[in-house]
Parts: sequence; C-alpha cells; structure tokens
Amino acid sequence: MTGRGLLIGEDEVSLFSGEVHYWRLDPKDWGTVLDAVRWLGFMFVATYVPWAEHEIAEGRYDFSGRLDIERFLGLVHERGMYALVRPGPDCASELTTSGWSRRVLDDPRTQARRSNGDPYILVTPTSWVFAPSYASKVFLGEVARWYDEIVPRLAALQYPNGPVVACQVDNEMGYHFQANSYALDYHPDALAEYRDFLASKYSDPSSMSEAYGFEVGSFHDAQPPVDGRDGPEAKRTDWVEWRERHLIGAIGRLSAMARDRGIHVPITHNDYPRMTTPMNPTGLERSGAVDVAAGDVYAPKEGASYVREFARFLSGTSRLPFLAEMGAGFITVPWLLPMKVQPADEEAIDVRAFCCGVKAANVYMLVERDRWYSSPITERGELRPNATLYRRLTELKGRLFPLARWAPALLLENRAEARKDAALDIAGTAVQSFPPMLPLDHRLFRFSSGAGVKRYEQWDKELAAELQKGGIDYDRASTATLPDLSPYEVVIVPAFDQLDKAVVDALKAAAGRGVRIVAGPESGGMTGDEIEVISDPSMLGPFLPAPRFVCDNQNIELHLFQGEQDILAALNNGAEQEAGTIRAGEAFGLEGVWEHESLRGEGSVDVALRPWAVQVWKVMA
Amino acid sequence: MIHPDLRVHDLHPEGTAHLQGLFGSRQWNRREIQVLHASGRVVNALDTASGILEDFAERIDDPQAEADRLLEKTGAGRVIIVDADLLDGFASSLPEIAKKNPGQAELLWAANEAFWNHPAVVTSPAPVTPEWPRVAQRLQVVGERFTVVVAIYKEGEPYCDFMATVEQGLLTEVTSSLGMRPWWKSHDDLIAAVEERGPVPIAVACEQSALDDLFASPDAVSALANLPNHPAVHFTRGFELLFEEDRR
Repeated sequence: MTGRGLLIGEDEVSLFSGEVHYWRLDPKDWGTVLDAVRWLGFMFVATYVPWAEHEIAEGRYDFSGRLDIERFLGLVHERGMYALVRPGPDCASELTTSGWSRRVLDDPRTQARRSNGDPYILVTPTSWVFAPSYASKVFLGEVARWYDEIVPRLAALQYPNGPVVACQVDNEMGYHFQANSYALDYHPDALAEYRDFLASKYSDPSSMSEAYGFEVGSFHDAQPPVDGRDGPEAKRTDWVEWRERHLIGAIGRLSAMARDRGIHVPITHNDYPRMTTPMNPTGLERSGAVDVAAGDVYAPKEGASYVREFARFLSGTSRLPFLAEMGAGFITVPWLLPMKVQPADEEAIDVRAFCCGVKAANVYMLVERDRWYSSPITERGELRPNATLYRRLTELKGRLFPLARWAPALLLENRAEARKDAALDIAGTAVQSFPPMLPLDHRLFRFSSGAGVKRYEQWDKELAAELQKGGIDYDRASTATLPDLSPYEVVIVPAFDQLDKAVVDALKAAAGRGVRIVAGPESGGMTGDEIEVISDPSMLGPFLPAPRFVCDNQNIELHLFQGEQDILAALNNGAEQEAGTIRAGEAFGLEGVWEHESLRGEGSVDVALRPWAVQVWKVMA
Repeated sequence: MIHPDLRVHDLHPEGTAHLQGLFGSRQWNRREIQVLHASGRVVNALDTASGILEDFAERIDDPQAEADRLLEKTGAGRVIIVDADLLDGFASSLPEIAKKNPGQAELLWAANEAFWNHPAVVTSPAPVTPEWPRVAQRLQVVGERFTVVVAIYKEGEPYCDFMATVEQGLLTEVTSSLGMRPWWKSHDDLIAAVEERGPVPIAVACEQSALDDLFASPDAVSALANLPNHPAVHFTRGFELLFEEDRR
C-alpha cells in the first residue's frame, strides 16, 4: 500500500473499483458483467461475502452455483483484474439480516444492550434484527467460526495466486448507525472492557475518585453513565472516549482473526460519513487494527459541501484516502429509506471527491442487483446511459493519480470538546435505529447546556471560512490521534481548555520542525514563540501561505494538483450559476480535461460554472 | 405486509427515481415543532425546518395547552411534546412487540402506536390512526398469490409500470415489465400479459400527475381509496377489495 494506491508486484496501481455482488447475479452472466466493468476502465472489483447467504445451517455452508465465490474470483483473475473482498461479519448491502447469521442474532448472549438491559433493534431494509454486540465473546466466537470457513478460501486467492489484493473487515461498525452516546453498548462483556479502560486510564481508583469528585470503590464496581445528565462531566466523557477505544479494539480483533487465518494483503474498514466521535480513523490505523480506515458517502449534489469536507477529512486522517463506498444508483426500498441520489448527481459528487483529497474509491453499486437500481451496469452486463460517466471518471482518476494535491493547511477537530458535546446526549434508552420507529428528530436528543458547548463548532466553521477566503485548500484531522503533521505548512487547532499533553507535545515538535501552529482563542497550554494564538478566527489570514491561483468569486473554489503536468479544478458548490476571474502572477492557459473548455489569458482568465459543476483543466504555461 | 426476502429488481429507471423522490418528500419535508422536557423543564426544542430553537421557554407546565398554542402560533403541521423522564417505558416495550411482529412494517406500525399512545407524548393535532394495517389485512383475503399492476402514462403516452406480487398477504416481489418488450401500447396489453402468468385482481392506469397528487396528500390511504375518482386516472380494478369499508 502506498499513499495513493496499492503496490501490486512492482507496480503502484491506482485503486478505483466497482462493487459487484456475485451471489445476486446469475453465474452465467458473471463473465459478461466483469467484461463490462473492465470496459469502463476499472481494474478492481469489490464484493461483500455474506455470512447469512453462505451459512445454510449451523456449521454448514454453501459455496456452489451463485455462491461459488472462488469461481467468481477466478474469472476476475483471468481478466487480469484485482479484487477487494469484504467477508463481514456485517455486510449491510441491503440484505435482510445485514449479512449476519440470524441464528446468531437470535441468541440473547450476542445482542447489544441498552443501559436498561433491553436488546437494541436494528431495522434493515426489509426486516429487523437484534443488533449484535461486538464485545460479546459469544458473538465473536461465532464470527471466528465463519472466518474459519471463509477466510482460508479467500487467503488462497491472494495475489499472485489469485486476484485478492485487499480485505475489508466488517462494515460501518460504529454502533449500528446510532449516534446517541448512551444508546448502546451496555452488554456485560462491553462493560468489562469499559472498566478495563478506566483501570488503564486512572491506574488506581483514588485517581478516578479525584477526577469524578466522588469515591470510587474499585474499577470493578464502576457504573457507566446512562444519560447526559448522569454524573460529572469526566465520567461522561470517559464513556464517550471508551466508545472510541471499543471500536478500535473490536475492529482490531476481527482484523487479527483474518490475519490468523492467512490474510496478508492490506486490511481495511469503512465507516459511514462522519468526522467525529466515536470514530478515530488515524487511531484505527495507528493501532495496527487496519491498514486503511476508509469511509462511505452517498449524497445528492446538494450535499456537495459535506462531500468536500469528508474528502478533506479522509485525506488528513488516513494513509490512503479511500471512499470504500461511493454511491451510484439507489436503494429501492423507498418506504423506509428513500435515497435521493440520482444519476445526474453522481458526477457532481464523484469528481468533487477526487478534487478534494480522495485518492481511492469503490463505486457502490457499479453493477446493479436486487434492491438496488440505476447503476451503470445492469445485472446482465448491459451498460446504462450513465455508464460513460464512469469511463470518463477512470480516465480522470488516472490523470490525477501521479499528482500531489496542494493542501498546505491542516484544520484539527478538538476532540476533547467534541467528546463533551457527545456526552450531553439524552434519552439513550428511547432512541431508535430508524426514524419511523420514533417519529422525533435526532437533534432533539442532546442536552443543550447553553454554556457555549458548541463554541468549537463555531470556531471550526469560521476557521474553514477564513481558509476558503484565502484560497487555501486544506485537510482535516482530529486531536483524537494526530496524523503526521510534517506535510503541512500550517496546522490550526481550536483550543479552549488545556489540550492533552500528547497533543501539545506533538504540535510543539511539529513547530520545532518548521510547521506553523495556530491556536485560538486560547493557547491550549502551548507556549513558545513558535505557537501563534489568535483571539478571533478572522485573524487567521496573515498566517496562511499565498496560493498560486485565486478566484475573485468566493463561490468558486480552486484546487491545485502539482506534478509533471499541473491540474487545476474549480468547484461550484451552490445551486446558482457562478462566474469569476482566475488570476495568477504569471501568464497561463487552461486546457479542458473534464469539460472541453480551454481558456488563455495574460495572468487571468474568466470562467463560468453551472450549478454544482466541477471543471478541471491542465495548466499550460 | 412486506416479506423479509422481498425481491426488488428490473425497475423502470426514471419512473423509479420519480417515485423515490415522492417517498422522500413525504418522509422528510413535514414541518414540526418538537419539544423534549424532563418533568416540565425544557431540555431541547426544535423546529424541523430551521433547527434548534435557542430562545424557547425554560418550563412547560401544561404540555397539551402548550402544544395547542404552538400549533396555532407557528403554523407547523404538528407539535409533539415529550417528557424524557417518562419515555423509558416506551422503548422497553419494543423488543416484545418485535418478537410478536416479525414483519418490518408491522414493527413500525406497532412502534408508532406505542409512541402516540404513550403517556410521555402529547401532540397537537391528535395523531391520525394509521390505515395501512387495515389495508395490509385486506391484502390477505384478496387471494393466495396475485399481482398488482400500476401502469403510468405521461401526457397520455405509456411511460412506465410497476408490478407487485403478493403471496399470502405479503409483498414478495416488485418489478417492471422491462422484459416484455415490445413496450405496451395501452394498459390493457400490459394487464393481459401479466394475467397470462396469474391473476391481477387489482390494477390502476393513470397519469404520473395522479401519483404526484396521491403522495402530496396528507392522508395517503384516503387519497389512495379515492384514486379511482381522480381525473388523471384512466382505469382502475379491484380497489373495492382494499377499501370496501371506507366507501360504505
């Protein structure tokens, strides 16, 4: 694995794949489908390998006919293509049980628990299940039995003996889409982990008693908080921090199971699109749990700004900014989950993701199937009209692959503040997995203290606006685990109280190596001439580098890729047509790459962008 | 109502996209005022159209009176006031409901009924009793296995169709007639072709605008029951099987 793709043999290869679900297709169409995938320029396919489909009874599995994954992967290999395999245990993928074995979910010992001991119900596209606890030893034992069966089959087909070049463990594990910090998981095995976490954090009960302001007899007796009003803030934020650690630990356990059974290719995991607690992608990679912490995004064009920020987050937090699921087509169970993504939106989202930091992606679904429609390729391998977009995208992706995106700034999330906010959730025993089960908006379930707990979000928003105003492309990351800071000229951190010592030490070390550190409104405990403290986000401008290209219309964003042939991209993230003038301190021309519009001027060119459009040009001297 | 292993495949792309949009607009575009309090002390108040209401009152002493007042003052479609301290009991009933109702739709209906009837919840106007469970019950007596056909025209020209298979009262398959090329010239052709494979006791042929109106209606079941009278509907069959009592 490299920072921009995969090293396969001696070749560094751009990772751009398409999701194909072999078990949902007629095996006689597999070859035709794969040929269509290849024709669109994709060298990779990705597929879930669903436990619930293959397990026909306890301890008995079917790998014949449409479930013959080894034959399917053989056809991939024959075509010189590569495969990313995703053996779960959770596959989601609009399956009735999300891919888990229902036999296992019906065992109360495996079920995730609410604070009152109730099991947590997860509504799936056409059914519901009792969601599993990833701390449950019984559940993990059952996963081990599934891995015993499937992983050796996949391991035998790793490159060069087969097409498998990466393996994803589980899918969007983060508490079953539930954002409320107190909804789950209170399974006894999870609480044992929580108490172990407290013991490792405080070393002795008296330290914890001091932090909590009341006597803690022993770690064994520690009771978790159940609500945003329960106990001192330290107790609640410890719970939120443990939930982050639990995910890293659980994903790490699955990863170790896969390694133990022979997987030696890179291991990945994918979260659904969010940039804060309980997820910590950098920590997930740094712990060794996975090689790549990826993310998924399904968005209509109106979500363009979020996709841009999520791409920046992946770029700042992961070794390989990878969109493990980039939506194409839509789920067809609209009574539960009407997806608004239309084929016309896919161009706006996909090109934007590549221009804002994503370096690897998997199109989900490239080939349609039961419960999914309007993908570029039909179940029988026919191309739909929107397929040409993906051929063009593979070409664009190839063009950007050798280049480096100019992102001189890193904007950090203050995770300590985010934890305080998440710790204010309420009604954790009532919130549900899907809105129809509790017809109340999820925003209602967070205690609003009125004491400025959202100040860090306000600072983040205003700092981002200052970066945009200065024409600076940037990455995002979190103080939960800092990434390598050396690629950046400026690192910006909203600081209110004392930052963690490890964060302060890392920032000061970076400053010592010439990285400019800007904090505000407080210093966060950092001292020294190398740290700049600003009392207002509007003071950020003087600390930013000068961009090579600027546009006089703030609604047109520029993104520069540098290398043998520089590329400039312009984004319109709004619903109005935008026009502006791009200027540089030199004469330059722009030759259309994404749309065939070429422009030339003496230090400036006029551009116009349709609503939500992205334009990409080669920069000519 | 929905079989857990429901198959949804080979749908008409543009028609399906349009339906997705109609479903989406029903689910997420209703403006409501929602208030969460703890024994009278307001925890959070929200306008679903604009977000958290920062300057909301600190206490609610008479939730029903407050809901009625907010409904009139704000012009929202609904006001819901919930006591967080009493809400635990609501969630605790769900696992048992789930075990008794293996279907997803039945679980959602039961959860909704449990919510609206829970003492923690006050709403204005009063909640509407969902009619879909009654429609689902009637599906069970229409026949052992049958197909519902929906033929959609756009400005008088055949546009797309959807066919839903129902077995023992459960929806088991939804598809379009893409495999039946050449394309149908009138809904009679389509229905006749489907009938070659089994009974079609329920069918509708209408302009797309009739569906738009159906989804725009606040009471979708009543609107569906009255669909045969819609001026943009060309043909219906068997609606009395689903809505007989409503028409009496």
